[in-house]
Amino acid sequence: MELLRECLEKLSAVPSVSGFEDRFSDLIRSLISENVDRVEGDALGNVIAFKKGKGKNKLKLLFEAHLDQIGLMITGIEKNGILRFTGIGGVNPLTLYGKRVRILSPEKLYGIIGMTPPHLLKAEDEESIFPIEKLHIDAGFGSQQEAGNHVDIGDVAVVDYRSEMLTGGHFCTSGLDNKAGVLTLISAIRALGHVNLYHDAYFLFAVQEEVGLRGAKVAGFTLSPHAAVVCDVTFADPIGDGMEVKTGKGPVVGKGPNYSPRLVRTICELAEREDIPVQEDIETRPGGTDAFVLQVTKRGVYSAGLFVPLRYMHSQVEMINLKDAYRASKLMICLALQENLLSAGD
Amino acid sequence: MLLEDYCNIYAGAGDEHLMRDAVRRDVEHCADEMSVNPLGNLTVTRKGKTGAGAVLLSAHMDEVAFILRSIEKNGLLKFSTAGGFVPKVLPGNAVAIGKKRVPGVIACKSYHLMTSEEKKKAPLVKELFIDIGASTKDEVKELKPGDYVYFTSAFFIQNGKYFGKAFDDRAGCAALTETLNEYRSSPPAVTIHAVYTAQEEVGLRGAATAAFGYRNVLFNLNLEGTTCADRELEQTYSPSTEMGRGPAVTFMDKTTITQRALLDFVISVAEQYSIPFQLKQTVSGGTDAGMIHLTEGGIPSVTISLPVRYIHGPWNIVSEDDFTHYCELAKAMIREAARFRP
Repeated sequence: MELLRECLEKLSAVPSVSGFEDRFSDLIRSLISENVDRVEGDALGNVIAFKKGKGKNKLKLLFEAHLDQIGLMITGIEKNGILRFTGIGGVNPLTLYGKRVRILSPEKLYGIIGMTPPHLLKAEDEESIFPIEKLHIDAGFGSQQEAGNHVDIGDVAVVDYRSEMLTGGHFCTSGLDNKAGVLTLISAIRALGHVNLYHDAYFLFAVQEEVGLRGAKVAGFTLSPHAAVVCDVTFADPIGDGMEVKTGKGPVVGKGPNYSPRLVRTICELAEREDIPVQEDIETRPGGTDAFVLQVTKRGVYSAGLFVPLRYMHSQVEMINLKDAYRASKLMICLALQENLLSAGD
Repeated sequence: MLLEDYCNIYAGAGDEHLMRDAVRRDVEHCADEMSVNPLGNLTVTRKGKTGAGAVLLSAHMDEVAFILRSIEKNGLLKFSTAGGFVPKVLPGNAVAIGKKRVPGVIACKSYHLMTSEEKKKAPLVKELFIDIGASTKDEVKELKPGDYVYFTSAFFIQNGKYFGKAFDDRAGCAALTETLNEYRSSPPAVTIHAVYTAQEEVGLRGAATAAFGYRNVLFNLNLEGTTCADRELEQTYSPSTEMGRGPAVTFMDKTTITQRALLDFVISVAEQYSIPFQLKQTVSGGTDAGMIHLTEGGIPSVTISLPVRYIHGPWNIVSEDDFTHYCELAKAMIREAARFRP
């Protein structure tokens, strides 16, 4: 668990906004390269690692996690030096008001998303949600020219955050959607480094999930696996109605039309055999994860979803329990070693 | 740097002891008398020439903060505010809780799970929770209702601006301390009673007791942080103050109308010393002067404020130059105080 925490601290130090994932991709490569046969990239920036299996009836088995996170992009500089911006991916305006952002320009730069104080805010705006386009980032610039010397339109930013171990094995940081999945994959890869796999294992760290499952779509085509296990995060807010999934109670196995019953059954059997607690999530429609595009690649792919429960998705205070990521990685290891993945009766 | 030290201290209304400790440390060598009253005000006196009268300097030590109200079965914490907030700045903040500074966050529901109603209306404070990572009440071992909760924003400097929390009113506290330190080796012309007040943010509570019992007080100079909405004009009716135009002098707010003679005196001193200043354009809000000017038989009172952008939020911005001029004006007011005629 300590290794997992160290690894997650490294991952959370490097923002990875959709479309601007290069530095984070490099970090992933450096963390896994010694444990796989080869690491490749593609035109969109996906990172694809491969480790050969030794089994007689081996399959092409894909483990996938998207490596991008939501963020902000500078869209304009006003005459008085404030910056206008928009969201990349599903950004919740409520996470922005009054917060500090890190502008990912070559120099280290902070800005504040300004909010009028209670003394001056118009009464009718007390409870209103200002859309992102009406907000501004104040980095302390006094003019358009001064700002222009430090910031370019098109620069990306992330809401600032702290990465910290909290109570009960919870880790809080920004971008855990999907650094939690990336952590799980890396953890599995490292454990498999010196083990003979049954199946040919491909590990895909896909770009641009948050803006429409783009990286997984093209990498799925290139790799054309028999089966794909997607590792992402799922909702486990302790607030709100009827949230049955909880952090710390094990990874979540997705069930529903997006997931192959055979592969799902194998995962559940392995979890039982290895005494790994899992939770279930019923998705009656194909979900918003990369499993959605991977399932329909070429002639079709047996797909499954293995999700790390997460609190407060798409906020800078996302939270996971490290035990859940650890358990998910153990299940992946089991899958890579198990001969029959798809033979469970329908 | 003094201002940095003060801003980084955690001190909400009723929990000001760390600020008191810091001020004592910084003024010890230039104080003739120091005392703490039952509300927690710290008063530092530096004696001037006999018969020259006294100036009551004031600034409040407390910052806007939160207090834990209850611990829920699922390990989440409910809280109340000690000070005024726009609730929509709260979700998504990192906070430090209780004496042990237990790290936590103000929870923000997953965006995908918010109903269309929730996406249209910001939550109220009573609908918010703090999450320290616990899943049950038993895991919340080190905290109890009544514990204070603070923003963790650490002071930094960028583009000639100071960024951090609590400039309201650590800027005033720093200006008081700097003014006292002018008189480290030789005494001031007039006696200085510098009162670092408690509990301003919850209704000028410390200030109600701050000015009682002093004789020959020429005037009260109250040093504050004030609103500065010069970058979000569409959200408000007035910017109140503008950053970079110097300290703001209040002619009227909800609690005080500044005596004309004193207002003119401040302006004349600023002009004499070529210190840029502005008049605060809004009359909203109140300050410690509201209590101090009504103390005993009445004390002429004026507030000079540092413009603070995004005041009462987790991150404020002030101008380095404004702060310099603000301190200069406070010092000049003491130097010239003896020539004030009400």
